[in-house]
Amino acid sequence: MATTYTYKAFGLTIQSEIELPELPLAIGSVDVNVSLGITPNTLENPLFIGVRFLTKHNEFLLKVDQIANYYVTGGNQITIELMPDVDFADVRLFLLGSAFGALIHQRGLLPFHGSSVNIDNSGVIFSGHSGAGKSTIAAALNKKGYPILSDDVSVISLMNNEMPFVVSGYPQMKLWADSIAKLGDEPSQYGIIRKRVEKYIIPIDKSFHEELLPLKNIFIIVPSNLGELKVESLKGVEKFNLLKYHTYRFNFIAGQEMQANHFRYLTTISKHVNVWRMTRPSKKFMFDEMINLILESVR
Amino acid sequence: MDDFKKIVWLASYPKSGNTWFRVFLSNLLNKSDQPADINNLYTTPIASSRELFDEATGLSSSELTSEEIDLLRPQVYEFISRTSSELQYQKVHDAWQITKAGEPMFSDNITKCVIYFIRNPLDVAVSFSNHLSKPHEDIAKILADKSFAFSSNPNRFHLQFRQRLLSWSDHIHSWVDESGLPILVVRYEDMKENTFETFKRAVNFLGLVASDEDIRKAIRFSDIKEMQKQESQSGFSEKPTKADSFFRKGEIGSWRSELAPELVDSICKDHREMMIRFGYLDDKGFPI
Repeated sequence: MATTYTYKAFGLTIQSEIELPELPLAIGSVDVNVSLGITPNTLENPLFIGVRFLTKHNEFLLKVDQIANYYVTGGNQITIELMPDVDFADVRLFLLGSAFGALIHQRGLLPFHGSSVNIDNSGVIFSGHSGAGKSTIAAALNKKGYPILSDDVSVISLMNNEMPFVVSGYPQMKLWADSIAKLGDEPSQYGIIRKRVEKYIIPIDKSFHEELLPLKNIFIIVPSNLGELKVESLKGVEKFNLLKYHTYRFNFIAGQEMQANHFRYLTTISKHVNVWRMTRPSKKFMFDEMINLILESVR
Repeated sequence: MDDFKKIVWLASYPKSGNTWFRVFLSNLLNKSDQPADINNLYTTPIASSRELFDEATGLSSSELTSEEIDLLRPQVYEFISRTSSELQYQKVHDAWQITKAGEPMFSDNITKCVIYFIRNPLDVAVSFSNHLSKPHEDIAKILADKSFAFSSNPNRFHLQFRQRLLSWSDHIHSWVDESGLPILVVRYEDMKENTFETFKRAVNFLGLVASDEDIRKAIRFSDIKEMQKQESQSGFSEKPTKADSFFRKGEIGSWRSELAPELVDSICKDHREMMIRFGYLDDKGFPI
């Protein structure tokens, strides 16, 4: 029996054969196993064929060239087949991103592409395209004392009473050097996520929220070269479509059962959560103005 | 087999009429009585956009190196072609190229055809200088730089992938001579001076069914004045942050008053062969 480590992330207790220093240690009954082994070469009769992944009901296979293959099953098992001479930082990056994204979909939860913050004991998610500033605005709020719930991917859970909650992720953020500098910090004190990718790992030592919180607001951040800052409340079909569009790894949702569950999530969130489009000038981050506008909108 | 060829590449060196054609095409395909919204064009995003890639691969491109992204791009275009029910019009500024794995980045297997836009490099220099907010001297060097690439600084995030443009002449050579793809070369100057005939030729090449009246209407709706009006009212999402405007003058021959004679000479010298071939220099090497 190999040595294992037990951690907590995304509201799950995870037992892993590889060390995951990003995650806080935990005890308790295990929800998910991460083990090293041989992954299938392919999946027979897949429901969806992506460029580097295949999906079936409760089965998912991702191949990251030169790094590892990830085989995710039943919402509770991730098997990793390592490629030769691999850097473990790379293995963990795609494990905690895409592989856990697939696992969360299999568990019938909704991974949403965005970073989340605790404002007045409610969850607020910041979403948008790559480069919109999801993590940066969350980090700016964190500097003002608002605890981080999750970075990059925020897991939404509909509890028994059918109300959406944001589940805490793990205490780390990933930021580009220019974002760190804009926040008044020095990038070189942090480690990079991978060799030759100059995105930095910022551990969140304090001010991390470890429990789930009711989800009340989602901001879709849209940089605009017109230079204006504004917030609009979204309604109806547009609101629903944006929630669908910003679902993390939408193509990992395989088959009717998962699709029906996803639809149930989107309609319930549409009903109970305010969704805003925040247009910000692409030239510069107006942190104070943005934060004021966010607080005005959610309060 | 040809059913699988769903991608039409709208390829060009920057500032050569590509966006004008995309606005025209959106208007033609929309069949609306209103000009198409320049911020909501019918054509799909630029081939170097991240969203398409991330959806197709299941990976975050912001966590991959430019080299890893380049290796996956041919498979992403294969994915787009395989999963699309309609033709996909993709704007592309990359030169046509072979990846390190030996595959063409823009393969014949998924390509219906290419429209390649070309413009007098002397006018490209003036327009590109405004676009990049760089002096004319720097642009003349960029036009001649055989290893020039967009979005190539690895220390910061780029909205688009690294795009290898190569030099202006090599860019043309890569698409027109090396790619082996079915291609129609469209000169910007012909779009300006023989607008109807030039656009009609492109429509016929794409195999689109459109009446002369449809084409004339789409040309009216994509007039530079209409695009300038829309940009002044609601901006243009594809404008670089530093540039004052994207739709500037669009004139032919503005280099005559704006470009220093020594830069005219050096651009004509650097690109002599291609400029003669596409009618921008006479056979004695003088600008036309």
